[in-house]
Amino acid sequence: MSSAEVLEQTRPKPKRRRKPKWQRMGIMGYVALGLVTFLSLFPFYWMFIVASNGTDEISKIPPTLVPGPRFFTVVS
Amino acid sequence: MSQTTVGKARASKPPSPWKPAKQPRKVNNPNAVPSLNGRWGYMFTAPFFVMFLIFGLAPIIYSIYIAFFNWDALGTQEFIGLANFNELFVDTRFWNALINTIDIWLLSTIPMLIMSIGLAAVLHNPNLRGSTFFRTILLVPNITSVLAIAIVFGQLFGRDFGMVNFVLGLFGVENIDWIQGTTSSHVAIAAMIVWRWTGYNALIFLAAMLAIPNELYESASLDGAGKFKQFIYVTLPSLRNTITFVLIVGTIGGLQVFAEPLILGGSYNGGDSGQFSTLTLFLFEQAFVAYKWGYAAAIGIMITVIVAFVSIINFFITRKIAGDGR
Repeated sequence: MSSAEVLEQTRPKPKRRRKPKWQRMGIMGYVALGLVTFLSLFPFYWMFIVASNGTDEISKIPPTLVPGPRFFTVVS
Repeated sequence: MSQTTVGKARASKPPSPWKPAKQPRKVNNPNAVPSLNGRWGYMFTAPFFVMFLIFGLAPIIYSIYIAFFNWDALGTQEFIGLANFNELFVDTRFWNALINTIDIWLLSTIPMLIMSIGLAAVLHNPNLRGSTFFRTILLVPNITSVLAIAIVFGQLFGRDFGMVNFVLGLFGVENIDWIQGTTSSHVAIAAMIVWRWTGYNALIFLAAMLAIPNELYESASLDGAGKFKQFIYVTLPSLRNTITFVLIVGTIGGLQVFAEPLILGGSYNGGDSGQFSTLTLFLFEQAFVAYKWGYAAAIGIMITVIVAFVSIINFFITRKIAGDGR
């Protein structure tokens, strides 16, 4: 990384708005964050899948990945 | 005028920070509050200390007292000195639980530290879009109940229909019996801990990174340091205290892991052959299944000693690795 790029990153706020926003953020950072987001939210989604499907649905290969019709039946 | 004279008079003898300056007694003021000479402070801190003495210190001392007894649920109390500890040191279940606990702790803490520092470094970038969104998402796992998450992870790590085995199967890996194996069950438990605490620690690291002055990066880049070198020589040393904090909190929590193995195994014995029995599970089993309260208290004391010992080791290792003032 050249010093100019780092200076640009550490520049005080009023000057930064002239710069293109995507310039310094590598694609790998977004990939990593996206992966973490997926891993964080997947157990919640899985909970919903299990809640909305029948018992036989969740023990299948390949696993069911879409919510079933039973969610409100189970909740009520 | 009078102020300056007072100031000069005080200059010879500086006011003590411990004793309040003597006020001239106001004889004629009937509304004057009688001076307690700063004793109000004790009254304001008393609620905490009273509660701590009753609910914090007293049970600790009492459990130390119990540890020297053969004490069961029916009220048999017999002083046996250090026999509980002697029994503990030759108990293979205790050593098994200790090794399991340390294994789980290592498997969870090291990836968690690396991943959370990395995530914090990504989030530190001022040009990141939607940073508030990502910060929120990172904290979502931490607000869940351990029990619910342990059930979900138990399903995900199931042998026949688990999602993890399914995904691994796509890459040609045989079905792994996560719960029955020793190392695999440790990995499953560590995955739960990592999932739950990485985001939280990443936010702590992010806060510490935001406090690093930009001048350090500026001068480092003037000296020709690239981004990676800046991370090694500027960010990591500045994070030293935070790493110590996270490690010690992680040690205290990680060596007392309880709910995850309990739910995963469905019983107090930590798997069929005790392959993921942890120290706290062993304590709970001895206390409330076997009703050996004196023995359980001895285990509790040993857990405290171990946690303190590992924390001290961590403290010095972190000082060494992250550099002590270069």
